[in-house]
Amino acid sequence: MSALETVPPPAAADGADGADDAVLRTTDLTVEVSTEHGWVTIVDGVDLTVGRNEIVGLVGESGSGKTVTSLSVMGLLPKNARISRGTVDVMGSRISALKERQLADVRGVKAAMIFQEPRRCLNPAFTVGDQVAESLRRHRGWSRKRAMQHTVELFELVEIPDAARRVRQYPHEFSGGMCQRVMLAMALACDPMLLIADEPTTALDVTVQRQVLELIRRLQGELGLGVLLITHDLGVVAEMCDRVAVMYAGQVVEQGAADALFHDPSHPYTSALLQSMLEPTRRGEPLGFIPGVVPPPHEFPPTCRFQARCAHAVDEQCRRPVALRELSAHHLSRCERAGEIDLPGVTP
Amino acid sequence: MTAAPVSAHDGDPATVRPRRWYQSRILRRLRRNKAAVFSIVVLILIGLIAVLGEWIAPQDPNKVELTSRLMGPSGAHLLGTDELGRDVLSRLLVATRVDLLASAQAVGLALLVGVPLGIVAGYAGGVTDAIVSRVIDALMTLPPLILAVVVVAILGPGLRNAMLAISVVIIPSFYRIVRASTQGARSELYIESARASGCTSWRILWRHILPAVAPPLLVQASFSASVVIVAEASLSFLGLGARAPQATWGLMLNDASSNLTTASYLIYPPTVMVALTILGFSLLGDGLRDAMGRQTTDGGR
Repeated sequence: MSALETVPPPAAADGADGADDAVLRTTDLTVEVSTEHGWVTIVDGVDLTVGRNEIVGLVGESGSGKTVTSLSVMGLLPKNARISRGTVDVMGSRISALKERQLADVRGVKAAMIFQEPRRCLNPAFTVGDQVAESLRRHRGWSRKRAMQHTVELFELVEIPDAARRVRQYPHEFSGGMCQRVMLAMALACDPMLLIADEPTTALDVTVQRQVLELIRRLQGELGLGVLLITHDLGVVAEMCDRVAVMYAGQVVEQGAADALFHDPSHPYTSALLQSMLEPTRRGEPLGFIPGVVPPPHEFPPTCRFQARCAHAVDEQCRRPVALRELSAHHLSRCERAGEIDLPGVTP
Repeated sequence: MTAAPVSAHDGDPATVRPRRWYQSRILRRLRRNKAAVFSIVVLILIGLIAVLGEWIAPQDPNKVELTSRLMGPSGAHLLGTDELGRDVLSRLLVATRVDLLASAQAVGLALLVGVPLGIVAGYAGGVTDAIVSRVIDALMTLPPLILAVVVVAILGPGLRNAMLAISVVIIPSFYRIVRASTQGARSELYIESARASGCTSWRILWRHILPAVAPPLLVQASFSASVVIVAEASLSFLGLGARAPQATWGLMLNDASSNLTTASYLIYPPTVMVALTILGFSLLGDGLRDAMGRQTTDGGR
């Protein structure tokens, strides 16, 4: 089904500063997973670009393929999944063509990743400093002592107070927010240019979320990182991101500058997501929701994939697979009716 | 790639020293366990005997004095003499080293084979796991004694060959423990995050899996050591292990059994040594298990 779609070349599809400046570029990335239904496509033709010094948000419900997309960027797909089509390039390395051994040399150096549950990402049996230093020892061949000294500097960079003492503590002595800072220090140890943050604040207290996000934003600015921020929290996206890609059922359904996408969404799914956000300005109004759930991958319909849950679906128009098309400069939508329907966004 | 962003760091680099908490906390817990302390003391004493045996033995353990056969304990022979007039105390002391070395050989060999196989099978899973596990299962079906007889029949009698047979018998216990612990550790998120920061599989095995596997492994090794001591005694007793004139506890038991009616005192020294050693290793195993367990009631103090 996906072979029918034609996708505009990625260079035209994004707002990155230029083709060569992209730290991440996926082209027609398609991932299949082996299930009892055979090989099932779970990520379908994703074109995504993250430029230097920009934060790109990747949003969507659970099961929309956000995490699988990010894992394939790191070459971390589980054994039962494979990239069946398309390419992933991170800073000139074709990730999708590398062997495991070569991938290990790229991870942490060109691209790094932080995960949802920072505490579980740290080995409880080692000091946090040890674990951050490990990356330096692995990639730079530094001695334990030299790596530890640099680790203290990294801890200061991610604003962990009393760094020299804290490096010798164990994960259980750190709060969730502090653990995420440690993970950031670990991720940034070898100066990668691409940081993938997979729901970095979902497991944290609300009060800590903001601090961690501000830290990511500050580091991104200071180090000129390209950040791929995966989240289902549109509030976070609105605050953090320069550009946004909305995923639904394994496809990018809308992509564009964050402002434009929020104020004037052109895909019903984006609009519905925005309507289901809690907003003080809409106090008293009923909260929007999207009926139904994302279909499981083996039941992705050959039509517009959102059709079954779409409030604007019209039979004859939405029965065909829909290609991502450019509505205005750098603004893409996968809705057949984009432009003819009026979709509410959030008020500026 | 830009240089690492560096903020001023005034701390004394000397304060950043990797520590060995792991050992220290476990030792702290071990020290509070009376049975474990007892076992360690016993094992240290036995170890000392093993090292010093030849020097502290009052007489040559193999010196035959047919004039003083089967003499009960006396001033000249503290534990008496055996049927060839050899000093029992001297033989007992010298046998300690032979037994401990044999036990270390068997456990060491089993570790050398069982641990890598277990880690690889547990980490790789799939076909590798299935194949290795079936081979190990087949190994488990072998009756230990029959296996020992077969090995000795093929390779000839001797302590080393007997230990080889024993180590084959205990390989599965190590393999299964390591494989299970590896499977448990493999799915931890910190393994995933280590991969994300560029660790190779070998590095992950070495740095993350092996430490996670080590505690149950140590416990098992301690228990296995006691099993091997018993096995040595049994095999030597049956004539499948050590051969005269070598002194081992099992051989001494064999000698003692043939004179049980006339010189019953001969049975006690090797029995006590075997029992003490087994007790030591078993209690140490228990203590280690408690000390390294993740959940403790005392908050790890």
